[in-house]
Amino acid sequence: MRKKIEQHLIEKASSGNADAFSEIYYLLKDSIWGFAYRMTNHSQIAEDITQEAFMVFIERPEKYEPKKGSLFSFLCGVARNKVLNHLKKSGTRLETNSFETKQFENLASGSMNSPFRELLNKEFSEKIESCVENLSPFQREVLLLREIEDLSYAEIAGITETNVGIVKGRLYRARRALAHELSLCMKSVEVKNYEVHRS
Amino acid sequence: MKCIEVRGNLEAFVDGEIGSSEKERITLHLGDCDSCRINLKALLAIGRTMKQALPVVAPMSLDARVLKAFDNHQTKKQFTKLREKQEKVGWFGIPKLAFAFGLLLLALFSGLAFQIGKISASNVQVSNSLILKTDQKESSFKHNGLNKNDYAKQVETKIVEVPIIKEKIVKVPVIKEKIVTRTIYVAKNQRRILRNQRKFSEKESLALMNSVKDGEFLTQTNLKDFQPISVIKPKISKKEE
Repeated sequence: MRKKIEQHLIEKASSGNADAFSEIYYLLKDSIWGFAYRMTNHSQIAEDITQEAFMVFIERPEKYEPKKGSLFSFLCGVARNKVLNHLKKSGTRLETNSFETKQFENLASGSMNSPFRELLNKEFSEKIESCVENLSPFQREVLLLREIEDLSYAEIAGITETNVGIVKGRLYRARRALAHELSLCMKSVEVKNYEVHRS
Repeated sequence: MKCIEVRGNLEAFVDGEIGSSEKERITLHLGDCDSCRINLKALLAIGRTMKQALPVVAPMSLDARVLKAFDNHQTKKQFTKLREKQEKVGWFGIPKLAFAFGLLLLALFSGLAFQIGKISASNVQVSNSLILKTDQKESSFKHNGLNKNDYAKQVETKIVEVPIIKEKIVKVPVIKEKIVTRTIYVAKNQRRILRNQRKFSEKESLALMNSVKDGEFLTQTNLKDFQPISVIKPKISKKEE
């Protein structure tokens, strides 16, 4: 979901209007926090990063240039830099893909009662999270920005400080790796087929 | 369009990052090619799966943190603005630079005044001397029908040394011309000597007649060891009268 925020609202918020800031915050908080959370896999750290990203906008609103992209892209870029700093500090290698191939049970069975299915859905979500987590940070960020936030290649390139070609390459590798992971843990023929056809 | 070409552009097609003509060609190909269609479905399934499996709702605690940080920042900003404004205005509503300049001028003026005072004091104070000062009681000030200001215009003040006895020198301010009376003081322990030398004392008094200040307008300080021995009306005063 792409966030569209009116410019006058941004101007009001940057000049200290609490209502305007609240409105912007509630529109963007889930996306920024979600991105930080998927990247760090740590809720508290994601909160810190989200807060810091908003604080950059509050304290130095002149840093945000509407010509360069949306406010969401700006905040996401700030959050992304902080995420990478955190990952570097924690010793995570940014380039390599270190996913392990695990054999998961078939979870998407349709012949189950509702509570049990809910439980399995939760487990399924955890498995997907685990698959995404196993991607390298650079692959993970482009995949999240594309699939969850629906950003264009150009916007992703702006946030990740790269170019469209690199974004495309990373996205391709990320999808392929994820398809491979997913093929191991679910029955989805479609995903499996993607893996087969691409390889 | 061949499958290999479509596969190369399929992701861009799904992501909407492809031109309209290319899009049409791929769409046509997908209608005929099962393999590419399956591939397309797989790609779409990845996105769909991710969106379904990764719902994102930020925790409630984040709201309180960020909004509080915003409030704190605004408070700090207002305080900083106020302080900057105060710094611009300076102290007591005077700009700082002007205030400092004023202080400097005041200090210079004070120093100058102190130096002048010191010089004046050194002119008046003489060791073992008697200091007489002009009495400026407005109510009692009347001389020949003149008020104080008119009188001050007519007279000129100067300091003269009046030897009363050998050991003592009295410094008195003298007003020329408008002399009415004068008082001669002598040290208590020298009174007898002065009486014995009355002739000398009178002569001395007459010699001083034109230069002794009108006693009416004099007060004496530091006179505890002195007593008045006579009040003499000068000759000029007599002539005037």
